[in-house]
Amino acid sequence: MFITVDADKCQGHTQCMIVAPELVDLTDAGHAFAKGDGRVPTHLKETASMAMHSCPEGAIRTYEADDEGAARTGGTS
Amino acid sequence: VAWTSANGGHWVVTTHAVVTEVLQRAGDFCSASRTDPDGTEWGGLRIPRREFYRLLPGEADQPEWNEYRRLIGSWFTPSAIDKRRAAIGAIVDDVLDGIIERGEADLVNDVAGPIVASATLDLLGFDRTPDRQYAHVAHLVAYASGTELEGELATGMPWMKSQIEDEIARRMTAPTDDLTSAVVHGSISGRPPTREEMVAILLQILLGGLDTTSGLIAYAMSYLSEHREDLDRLREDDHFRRTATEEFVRWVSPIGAMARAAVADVALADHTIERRAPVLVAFKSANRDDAIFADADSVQLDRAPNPHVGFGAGVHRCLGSHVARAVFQETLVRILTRMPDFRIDTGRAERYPFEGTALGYVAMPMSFTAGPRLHT
Repeated sequence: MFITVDADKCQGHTQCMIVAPELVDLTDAGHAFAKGDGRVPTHLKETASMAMHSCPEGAIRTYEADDEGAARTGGTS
Repeated sequence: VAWTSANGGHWVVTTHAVVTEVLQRAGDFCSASRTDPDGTEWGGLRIPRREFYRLLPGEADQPEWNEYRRLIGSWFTPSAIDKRRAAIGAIVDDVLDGIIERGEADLVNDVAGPIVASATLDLLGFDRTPDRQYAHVAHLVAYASGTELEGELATGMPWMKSQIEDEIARRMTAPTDDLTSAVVHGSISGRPPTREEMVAILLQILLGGLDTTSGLIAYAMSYLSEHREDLDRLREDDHFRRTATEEFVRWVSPIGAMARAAVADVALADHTIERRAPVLVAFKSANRDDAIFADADSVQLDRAPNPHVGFGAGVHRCLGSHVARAVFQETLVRILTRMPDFRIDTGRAERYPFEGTALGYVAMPMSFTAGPRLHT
């Protein structure tokens, strides 16, 4: 599983930092981005789902590696 | 999505999904006041429309909004506010020193109001001496219209504006490294901000932060006084304090609602919102949406995830949210440490006589075992 943050949608609520600091971090301006290449370790799948549901803007998506195109166009895994 | 004929007629949106959508579609639903060629005035953040001091960047739309937000945004980021945490904590301790030997106080007027005002004035670089007067006027703005306190508001706001103009005048001749100097000597699309823009920006920071955070503290303390099982954990567990902060913002929603207006005939859900039609965006209602929040009316201090819109959403998302969180958390932990047996007399607590868009308390008696000052 991968996690991705849509920089155009993120408004810096920082809710994801409360539930998933293992997977996301903040820019200096306070906007979220996925750590590393966005890969979600198996034991953090639930955490990734929490991050997705924590965002009031719907800026965070998770997707499986073979489903990347769907995630980029707004689908969810 | 519904229409009401109240207050001249306007739409109301209440679900989390549609509230978020309206706020995100800032190009369709504007925040600024606008005037048509025929002289018709429309838009703005209040229903019904009423003349008030302009606030920026809240009452601006893109592209102007970008310029205002860029001017002050870096002062409000999580990392910038983290650096101010110790200073905020010191302000809290100072204010608590003023009451701790008495064993009783008014949480709103002796604690929350002065703390929030001082922290905001400190961020601006303003003279903090009249902190209580700032807090008082900000509270009046929230609830005094149409009450017997309207006269006091009518003198309070000009007082606050003149304070701001004095601070601006000092920075014009002698800039410092504070936020106010950054506004006064900043650039809007390559030109200096006008005096009116400076006042509107500084007024927004003051009015946006004072009454809301103070209301949040009052509602939260009132709740905690009656639900004491989590007080130890709130004092000691930093992560729990963070989830609790978000839950109080969700549950209280200090700004209950705010308006937008359609810039053209636009589709929303199954409706067409006509050009110029006001839309009341009900944050508080969205924050109680059972489709998003399980058992939405109950307070669950460890609630996570918590995608509340208590700070709004979209580009206008509350600029001061990280200040509010820091002030709230530093206040909470110090009250719980220095006055652990505090009790709020909820029976004598007095809510705002009018809770239109802002929610809060006029007064809230609290008692506690008297303790020593930290500083003499």
